Amino acid sequence: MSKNGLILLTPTSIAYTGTSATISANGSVSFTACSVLSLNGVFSADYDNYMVLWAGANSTTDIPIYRLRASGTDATASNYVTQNLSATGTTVSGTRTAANGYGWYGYTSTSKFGNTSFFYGPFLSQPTAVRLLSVNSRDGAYLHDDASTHSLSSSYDGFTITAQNGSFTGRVAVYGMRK
Amino acid sequence: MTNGLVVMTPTTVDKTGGSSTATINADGSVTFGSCETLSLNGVFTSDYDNYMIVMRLTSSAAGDILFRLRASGTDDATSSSYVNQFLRVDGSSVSGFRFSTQAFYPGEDLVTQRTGRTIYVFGPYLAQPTALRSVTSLDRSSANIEDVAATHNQSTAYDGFTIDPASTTNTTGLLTVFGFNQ
Repeated sequence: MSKNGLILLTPTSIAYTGTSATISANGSVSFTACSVLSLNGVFSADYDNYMVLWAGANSTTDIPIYRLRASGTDATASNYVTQNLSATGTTVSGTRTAANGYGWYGYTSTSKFGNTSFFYGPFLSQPTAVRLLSVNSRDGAYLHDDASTHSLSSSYDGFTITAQNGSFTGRVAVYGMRK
Repeated sequence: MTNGLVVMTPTTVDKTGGSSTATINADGSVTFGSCETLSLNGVFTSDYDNYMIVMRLTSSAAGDILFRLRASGTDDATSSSYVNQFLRVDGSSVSGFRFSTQAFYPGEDLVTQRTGRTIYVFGPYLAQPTALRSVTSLDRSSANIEDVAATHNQSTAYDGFTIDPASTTNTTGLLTVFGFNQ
């Protein structure tokens, strides 16, 4: 018997800083000119791993950040490390951040960006891994990938995306992968 | 419980190539053979913003494969409207390059073994610029990574796309288009 393998999840609530953010009837979240967007209650015991699609445009180019979140509170301690891989023209580079209070979460640009990410085990009381593939319009087209880890063995039910510069407009959707 | 990933069945397919074939399967996937071009119409709609295309293919000769967005049966080949940023990993060689042209280049295809490719398409049916991201495994030097981030700068709504092996090459394989429910 076939089953749906990828389930669109609805946040129990959202919080934001900006003009607006709305949960659609099916569960995705549309937002306008937000610098901070938090999704609560999207990770649960029903699924181990998740896919998040986040696309839109920012008011400027930016490396946004994410934080895992439990019961409405972001995890801000220095437990995140990000390994980045970027390609722009003939320059291919990698950089790893020192442990700090957030992970890098792709790249946003003024024309169009599309970020596909995977959260591995955020609701499990184990360390979490996040992998992200990004396309954005910096320099015409810019490839920016992140692999990040969060070392705490805590259970998280959501996450926050924060712009370090500007504010973003678009849509984010969280999908649970049936296990 | 809302299904997150929906198979998009083309309304029609078009193809070129003397002995080419293309069939829309009952599950919505498209099986194709010896196509010099293959076009899927009516796979992008206002129901979904973002899409995933999964394909396996082999080609009659090694070379680039082109991808053009398409509206009402006509490809958009506007000069320099697609910007392609490549990332190629071949053994210990890691390289990048960028070019602007009249098509998205999601990566090369080779002859001897299968190419596997996933393409994420962000907002093709929205009257906004479109972003595309491809992830490819191919058999150059037996195994290669070839990833591409691309943008298309036209604020037009597209309902389909064409894949076009460059020159006289033809391609054979299977692809499926999925819409991300939202």
